[in-house]
Amino acid sequence: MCYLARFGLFVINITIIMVLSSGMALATITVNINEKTGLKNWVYQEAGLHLKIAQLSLDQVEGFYIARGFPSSIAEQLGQSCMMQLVVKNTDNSEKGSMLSVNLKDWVISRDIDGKKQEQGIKLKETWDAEWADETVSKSARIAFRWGTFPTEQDFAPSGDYNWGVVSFGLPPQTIFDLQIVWYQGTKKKQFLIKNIQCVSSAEEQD
Amino acid sequence: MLVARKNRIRSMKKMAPILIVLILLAIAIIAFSSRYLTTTSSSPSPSPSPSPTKVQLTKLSPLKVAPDFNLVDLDGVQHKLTDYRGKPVIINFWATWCPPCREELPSMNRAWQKVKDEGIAMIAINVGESEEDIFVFNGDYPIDFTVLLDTSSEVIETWGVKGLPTTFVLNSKGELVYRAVGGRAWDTDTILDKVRSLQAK
Repeated sequence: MCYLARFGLFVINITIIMVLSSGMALATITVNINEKTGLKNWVYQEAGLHLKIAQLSLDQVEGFYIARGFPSSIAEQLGQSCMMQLVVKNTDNSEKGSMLSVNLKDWVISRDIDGKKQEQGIKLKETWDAEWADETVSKSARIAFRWGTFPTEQDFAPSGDYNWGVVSFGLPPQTIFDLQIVWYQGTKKKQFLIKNIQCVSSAEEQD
Repeated sequence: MLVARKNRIRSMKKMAPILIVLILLAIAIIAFSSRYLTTTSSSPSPSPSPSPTKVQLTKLSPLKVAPDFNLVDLDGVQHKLTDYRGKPVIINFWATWCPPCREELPSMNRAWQKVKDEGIAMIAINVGESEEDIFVFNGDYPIDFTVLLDTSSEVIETWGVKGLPTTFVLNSKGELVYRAVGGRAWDTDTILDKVRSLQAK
């Protein structure tokens, strides 16, 4: 058999293997819009991970924190900081499933400002909490904030572990940005760029 | 021999274009499938549910004795964890404002109806809220098993919990055996049989 034929068969075999393995790892990102509220959510799924980022209205955010005991000025500040709901679930159903680990410090927000790419991290709950160390916010309200916010670091076992929480992107209303999400499946680092996530618009424009 | 060689060369020449096309096709498939398929589409439908996952609890290893606590219930009566030695205990950390907590509480209440006469204890430890908050909440979400108040959230911190709801199952020696991060359908026998298996024999 000539070398070309051998090479051809080799490539075809590798292709079959890669398609079969990559087929199992194919990821999907879908953008959904709630017909009633107009709020959007971004759902990213691939083998072992289900992740959802959902817009929250300014009223929802402010109302939640006021109900928890936050002063209205700080609840408004939180509402204006592009807070969204984050859901992460380990969907690994395999016999020897992998631990899914997330550290929000690894996530990168990027946006284009005047033609230049600007990057920043998520505004973590520890950063917010430090701003209230002077007791502008009551202890009980800070406790509710701490437990309602998605943890900075968390492991999700392959037994259906999941968590919901809010995450603050620290951006003004209506900002459009890309988000590089990073997670570990076992020891394997994985990442994906979710493009064009949009902060909800300000209250005036919502009316 | 020369004729056979010529025939081989002729058949190779015929195969060559086919092989080239197959190789190019293979390269195209590799290029396509090696990237994530990122179709983005807007749709008015709610976000798709995650793929069905086996209902399981995470087995913890090695076994460690759970940190003790001393918390009051809704009647102001103190409860220590060590009071519950001798029986398996399901301990759930929750809050009234936590959506997955609200979703799983009815199943926990149904589970309680199943196990309450079987020598199994269940405790719901509320984090950071007042008796009044819980009293109002119970109107829509009754909880018939023990509710304790971790008002300062000190206990949940000592247990290493990261998010709500998180539930632990302890054996009769007070050791942490199972954990569930996120809600579960607690009234299924798949889960309750695991708890039953921890009863002292």
